[in-house]
Amino acid sequence: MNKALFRKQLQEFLAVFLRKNRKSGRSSGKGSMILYAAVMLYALGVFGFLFLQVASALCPPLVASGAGWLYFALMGLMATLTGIYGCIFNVQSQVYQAKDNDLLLSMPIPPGKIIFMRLGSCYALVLLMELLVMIPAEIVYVMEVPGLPVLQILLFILTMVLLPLLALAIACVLGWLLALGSRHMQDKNLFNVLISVLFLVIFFLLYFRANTYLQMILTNTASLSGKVRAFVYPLYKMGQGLTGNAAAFLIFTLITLAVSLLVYKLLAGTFLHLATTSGKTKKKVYTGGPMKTASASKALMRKELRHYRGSSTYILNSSMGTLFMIGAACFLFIRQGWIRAEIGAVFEYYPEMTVLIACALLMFLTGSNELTAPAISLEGRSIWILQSMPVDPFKVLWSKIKLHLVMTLPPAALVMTAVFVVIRPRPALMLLIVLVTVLNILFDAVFGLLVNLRLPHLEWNDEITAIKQSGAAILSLLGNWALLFVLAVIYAIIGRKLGPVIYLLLAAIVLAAVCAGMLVWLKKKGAAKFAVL
Amino acid sequence: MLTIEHYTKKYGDKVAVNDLSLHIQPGELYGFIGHNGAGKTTTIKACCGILDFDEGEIYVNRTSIKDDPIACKRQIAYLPDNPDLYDYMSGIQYLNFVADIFGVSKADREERIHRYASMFELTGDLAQSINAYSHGMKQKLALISALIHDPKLLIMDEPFVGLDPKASRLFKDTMREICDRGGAIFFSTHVLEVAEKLCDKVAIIKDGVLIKHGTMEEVRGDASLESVFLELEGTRLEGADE
Repeated sequence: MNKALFRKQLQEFLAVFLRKNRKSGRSSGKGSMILYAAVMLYALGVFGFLFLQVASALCPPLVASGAGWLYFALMGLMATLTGIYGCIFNVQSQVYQAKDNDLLLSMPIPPGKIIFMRLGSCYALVLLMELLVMIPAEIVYVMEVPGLPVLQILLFILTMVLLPLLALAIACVLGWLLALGSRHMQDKNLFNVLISVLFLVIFFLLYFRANTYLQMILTNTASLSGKVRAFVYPLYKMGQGLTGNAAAFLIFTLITLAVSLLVYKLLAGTFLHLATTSGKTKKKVYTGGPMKTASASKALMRKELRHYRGSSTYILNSSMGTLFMIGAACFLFIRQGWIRAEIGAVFEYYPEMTVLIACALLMFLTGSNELTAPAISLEGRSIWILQSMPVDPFKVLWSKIKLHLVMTLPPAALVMTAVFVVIRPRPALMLLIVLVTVLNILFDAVFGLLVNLRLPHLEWNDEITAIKQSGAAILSLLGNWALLFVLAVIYAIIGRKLGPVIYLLLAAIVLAAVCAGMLVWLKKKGAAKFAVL
Repeated sequence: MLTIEHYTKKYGDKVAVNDLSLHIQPGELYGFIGHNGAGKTTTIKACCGILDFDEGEIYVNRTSIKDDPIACKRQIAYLPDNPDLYDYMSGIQYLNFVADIFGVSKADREERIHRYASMFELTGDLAQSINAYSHGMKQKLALISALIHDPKLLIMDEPFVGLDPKASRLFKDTMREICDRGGAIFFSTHVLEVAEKLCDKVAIIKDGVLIKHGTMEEVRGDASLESVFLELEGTRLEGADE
């Protein structure tokens, strides 16, 4: 039974990568698998590098002052928080909202085993996120403390197995509380979105003040040591263990296993109730009333908006850019004087660069919205509805592009206004920045849809698989970065000679041509492909 | 109304349906039976324009589904075997969405939604999210959405699965009414008694090949449809008609 459950969960996890054509049953080729692997490695490399920098700043002074354990405890804390943030909503959607819960519960499988199997894939995710933090931490430590005993390496490996259990246990408790709380909410999505935005705001506040905190850590090592000991005792013991104290490591192991077991028992005991009851929400009764008619295009757009509004997972994972744009606009408005002075000092001899950097920033921020990349996969098993209707498939695809535009253009207008208030460009440049940014938003929308049409994943059990663990979403994001990179390279080669007006004009023409080309493909080939997906 | 000519569908090297030809006339209720994996769903999906095919042609009122799928779909209502609907919509939102796509007027949609929702006893639940619907309620909602634009041709895959006896009976009456008004219905079923009582014509498919079709009398002769089907399938059960 355990093997069968494990195989099922693994198949579900790998289904995103080892895609099979829904109708022909053929698997995706080696080429796309290699591409996936390369993209994943690249993304992991980028995040790993960021944590390597943090570790490099912390390790030497802490080790030199004899607080090596504090270094590991702090990196462990970072790893645990990253793991919790990365999997808390996975716990909620994969454990409590999985579509096959009823099927599995109807089988002679103890609920505890279902929980165990589901948590297995969450554990894998947390492990991956923690390794992103802890491997750079260990590399820096090994370089700082030469001639480390084999025992330290061995304890590090064991810690990597144990530490995710701690993060997973905390994520499970939080996920359990969210599931419990949201059951009684009329608007579960709004609740989930608000909670997530709160998490994000805290995360970014910490991130933006990272330098200040690093300085605080380095200047207040003694008092911080006391706080770590008092508030995150298991990590204190983990830190001691990783600096060679085997007894401390044993205590860390026992605490981690005890906490994990306790949480597992709690989840297993309440799983059946939480997964099968929908909570006490008031039943809405239809009382009739006049109906409104709408055109097919309007109906499709309304459908897309309803889908978006109805899925907190979709909102949170595909509209990060909106949050970034609002945050950036606030920051620019509030600190405009300081930013203007800084820019003036940095680009004193080349003021035109300010305009180009502003344009690149706008492209990066707007490119963080990825509404079309999972849009086709999200149709899931209900794709037959649109396919069997008398509507041009291109209209369906266009409604998905329109959703991206509708959700991205307003915050983009806000952040563009903030940028213009700060940098005060000439009217011609202002117009060109608007043009390039809007075309970039269109590029993201069309490119995301095109990639998803090539890599659809319709057989999912929870939406998060189609949104978060999808190759289309990653490729689409990389497409935006690649575009920025190409534009930067072109600028480095010929841009300076042309000047910002001509360069931005050319960029706009190229972007418009690429968008037009992709739209033509969508209209001719893409629409036909969608009709028989 | 629906003409299938030499329809062939392959999945790689495997031939799912081979050289199938059928003609469904206006007013006919046509049953399509066969064992699991015989090619029923593959044929039905191709008739609705949601599955590409390798050879042959399919016409809806003399319009090729390949050449003008939208014109064909305007006349069709399709109901799959397991209708996955939009969980993020309420029942009434879904019906309005379907009505908007098919361009159903305000007066017509109000009258039809009222009529069919009352018939299937779903009116009170239309404001509820589809997510909260039971399987049977989803099936009823899918049926209402199929009827909302008054289709000329109804193509359905196992339409009675999940329906309670009352709804099942009411829907059978509705099917007959549609055909009496000049419409046509092509549907697959595993319930041979239903096919026998309801259908004017029947087609039996085995391993992707049409092995028998015609009026109910032509196909079954003096025996029951079940015994004919089992005989054609090469299965003999104890107590079956000799």
